[in-house]
Amino acid sequence: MLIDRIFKIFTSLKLTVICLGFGIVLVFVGTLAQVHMGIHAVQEEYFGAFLVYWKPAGANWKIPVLPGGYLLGIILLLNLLAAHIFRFQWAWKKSGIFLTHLGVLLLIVGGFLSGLLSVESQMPLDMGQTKNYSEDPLAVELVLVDTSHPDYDEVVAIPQHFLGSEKNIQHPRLPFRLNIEKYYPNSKLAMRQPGTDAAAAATQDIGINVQATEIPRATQVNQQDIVSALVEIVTPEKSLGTWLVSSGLGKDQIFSTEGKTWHIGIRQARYYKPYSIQLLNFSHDLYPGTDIPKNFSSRVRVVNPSFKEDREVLIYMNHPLRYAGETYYQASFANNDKTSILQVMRNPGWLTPYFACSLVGLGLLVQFSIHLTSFIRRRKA
Amino acid sequence: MNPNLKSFGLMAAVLSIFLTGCGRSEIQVYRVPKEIRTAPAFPQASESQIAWATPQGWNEQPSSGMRLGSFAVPGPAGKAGADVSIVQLTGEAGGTLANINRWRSQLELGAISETQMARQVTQFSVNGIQATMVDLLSSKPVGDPPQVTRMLAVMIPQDASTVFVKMTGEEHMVTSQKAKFLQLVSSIRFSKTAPPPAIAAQWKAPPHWKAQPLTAMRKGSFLITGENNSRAEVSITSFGGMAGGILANINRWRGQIGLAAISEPDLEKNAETTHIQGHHITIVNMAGKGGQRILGAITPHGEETWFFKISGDDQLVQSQKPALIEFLKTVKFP
Repeated sequence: MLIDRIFKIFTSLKLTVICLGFGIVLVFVGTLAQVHMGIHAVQEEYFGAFLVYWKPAGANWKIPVLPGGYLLGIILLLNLLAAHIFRFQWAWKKSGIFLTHLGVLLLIVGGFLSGLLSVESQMPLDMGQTKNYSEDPLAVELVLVDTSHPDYDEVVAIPQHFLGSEKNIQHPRLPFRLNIEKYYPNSKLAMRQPGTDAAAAATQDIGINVQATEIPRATQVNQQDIVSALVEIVTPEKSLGTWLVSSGLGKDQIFSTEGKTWHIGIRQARYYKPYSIQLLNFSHDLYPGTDIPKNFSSRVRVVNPSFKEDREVLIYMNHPLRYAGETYYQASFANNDKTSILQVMRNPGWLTPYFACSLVGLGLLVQFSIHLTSFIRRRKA
Repeated sequence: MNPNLKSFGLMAAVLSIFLTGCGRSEIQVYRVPKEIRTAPAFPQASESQIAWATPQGWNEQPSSGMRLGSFAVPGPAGKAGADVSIVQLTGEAGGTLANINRWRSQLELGAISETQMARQVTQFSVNGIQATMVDLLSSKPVGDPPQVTRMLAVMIPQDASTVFVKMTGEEHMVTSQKAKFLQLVSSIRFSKTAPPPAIAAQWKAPPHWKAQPLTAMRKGSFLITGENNSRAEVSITSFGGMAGGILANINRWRGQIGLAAISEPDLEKNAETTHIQGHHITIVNMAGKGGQRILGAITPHGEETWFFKISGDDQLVQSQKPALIEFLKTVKFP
């Protein structure tokens, strides 16, 4: 029966070896690709993908050439599960192997959990500044903020992938439609030079004077894309015009419709938190008489109204703040030591590698102990 | 079905549901406390603080977006009022002519030339600073609601920025408020704040190079005037990395004076390289069409590439080469 043959393939050790072989090739090719694509793009397109594609320069087609990290992980996971279900017979003397395999399964599942659920962001804080959100250094969002209410702002945050994939964006909370006329994944902004530059595509606000030009995506770890887009705002009655929005403008632009004032802009994607963090002091200590850094530390104040919590914490190297499921590391600093940059990591599966490795270790210990005792018994006999 | 098959199928199904469930993020809507929106890093300048006196009868609105000041001028009963704004932008924000032509296009009027502009602007002093005013009237009803629209705009250069004061509205409304508009303009005062620490390049320009206001792109800007009203412009810019490479930039300059692009092998014939103060500098001297010439120097420094360009009338630019070499010797990069 066909179905049985398929399951037989899944239980085979050959499949495991093939997958591990592809895994080695993937790591090798992915490491080389980082030179041109940068670590983040490779993570996305090689290790966090089901298939790795090859696209000739300038072509608009692509073909899959390698299984991606996710696909290999899933096949290995199913392979291990199928082998246990169909092939292995439970016996006490094999309990070590079972424990080791359970550890490996947990490691693969934990890897998936981290890949899919973990969120990494940054919180740059100036001295004295308080923030209740961190920002994604790699992803941006198009925001439309209704500032008409006297007490609060209502934010409609549109993730970056909508800009590349959707031509028209509509949302029940927006009394207008957004028509994405052009999307620049990375761009260069310059003041428009009258006479030499083409006519402005934007018809409103700063876009009339600023020219965006598409440039290749940033590949270095310390570079950031300047994401820009030309967005036409269309109410049911008419078009309000076209705005150039960009993460490089550093400021929202404003328009009004139906008696409400809206801010439009592209900014680094934000993750809001139910608590706030204030930077009280940042220290950058050097070894006396040298420029060699000895210590970076941030003294912060954590205020969480729902728990009536208000306390000070010192974050320094290897001593992060773990709070509300997130970990704050001292990552960097800027602005002549007046700005501290905290790395914020949310990873619900952060404990799984510890459990998994402990299980693998325990399994190996049990299995070797079983063999050792049976060996000793046989010698005695 | 084989119970083993069943449990394997169940696990595979759970795994696929889990993987498809973890899709990409969706549009989010949330409320946040009102935030103080910071000044932009890119186009707006705020080296000086600005203050004004609001004319009687005008309603000052909260400043927002690009606007430092905003006023609603109430119209007569049942009629639309006028809108007044005060905006400050870096440098000349494209230049006087470009701004006037942009406003003209808003009123659906055709673009004008520099000579035509000279006849249409009035210049006067605002607290010792020379300001330029333009008075525009649409030739037909424009805007929403359509009306014959008049626009009064004043540009006041201030340090490395320009302040724009503009009143737009129905023709008669704006005419009736012109005196109050001028009263607002003359009430504008600048108070300086401490300048940011200088991280600019330093140099000593020849005395006949007249310093010009800087723009967002230009680190240095000079005007050279010669005999028979000949003119040349010196611009100093810097861009990150190789800024597209030396050949691409030389070809860009060639394009500006109507010359065809050259290829890498021709670069050596068209450019000379020299060392000044330890910097490797590529110099090009190109005569273009229409009596234009570009004399340019390109040098990488640190993570940036610096461009020194003299463009203008052929003879005058040609005569500036010794001055450019002397100037380059004085440049101290940041």
